[in-house]
Amino acid sequence: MTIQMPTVLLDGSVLAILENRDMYGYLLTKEIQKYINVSESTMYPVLRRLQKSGELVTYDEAFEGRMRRYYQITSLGQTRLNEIKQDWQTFSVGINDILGGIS
Amino acid sequence: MSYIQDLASYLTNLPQEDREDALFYYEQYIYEGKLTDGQAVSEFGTPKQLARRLVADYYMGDAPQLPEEKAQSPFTLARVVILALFASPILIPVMIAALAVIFSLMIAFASLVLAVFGVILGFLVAAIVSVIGGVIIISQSILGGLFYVTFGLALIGLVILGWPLAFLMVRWLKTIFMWMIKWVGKQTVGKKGVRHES
Repeated sequence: MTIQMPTVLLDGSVLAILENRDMYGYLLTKEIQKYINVSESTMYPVLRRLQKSGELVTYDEAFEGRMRRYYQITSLGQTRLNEIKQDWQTFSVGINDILGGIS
Repeated sequence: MSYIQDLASYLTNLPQEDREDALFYYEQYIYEGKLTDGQAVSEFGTPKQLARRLVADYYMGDAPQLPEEKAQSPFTLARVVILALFASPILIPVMIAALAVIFSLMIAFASLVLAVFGVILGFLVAAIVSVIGGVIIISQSILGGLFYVTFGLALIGLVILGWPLAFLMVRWLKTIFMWMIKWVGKQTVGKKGVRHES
């Protein structure tokens, strides 16, 4: 594939997966990798950035004697996700109209 | 030494909170994924490479609380981005282009700063020569001597007034050049994470 994954779509994908339930880093990476091919070291900078911008918050929960750091979407993140979803809808329809129809 | 301990030793440039968050994340990831140190290297790169990318990501962020005042310099930023470039799996031509752009930006920045202070220095030298010259000729021509002394003093006043302006210009240049280096970094180091060859 030669298409570059823009940051905004990576942000949107992370937010969309966290919309359903809170996840910790490892699980989230594996979940994203079911859909798109991102490297292991891509996720942390994205999560950290979204956390600093207030779109995600973290909390720690004990699991089998160890702490897991869960990421949770905030209302700000939810707003941003809705924007990205709408933008993507418009964008993808347009591109599909141009490139699509390949049978 | 374990991967995480090794990583920690390379992250001393980060504020404590950021360092701890990154270490916690990767330690947990390695634990959950049951990665050996060798597997961790093939997933994230060597601890040194990962650390350099983390530091660069931090410095290229929108409003990093930089640990030291001197870190606000375009040269520090350039150094961090260049180290991260070498630590990232980037195509050689892209890396050469990025390095060339960063070096050119550094040279341009240094030249502009020098030019600003060169102009100030030029005015100062002219002012001093004018005052001294005025004093020397004052015995032959009182009006002429007074003219040069006054002219020189006026120039010194101008330099004193212009001094803060020069600092303002340098700060403005810093902001612009740091923005440009960040941009180069984001186009190269910042995008390296996503693999497309599938």
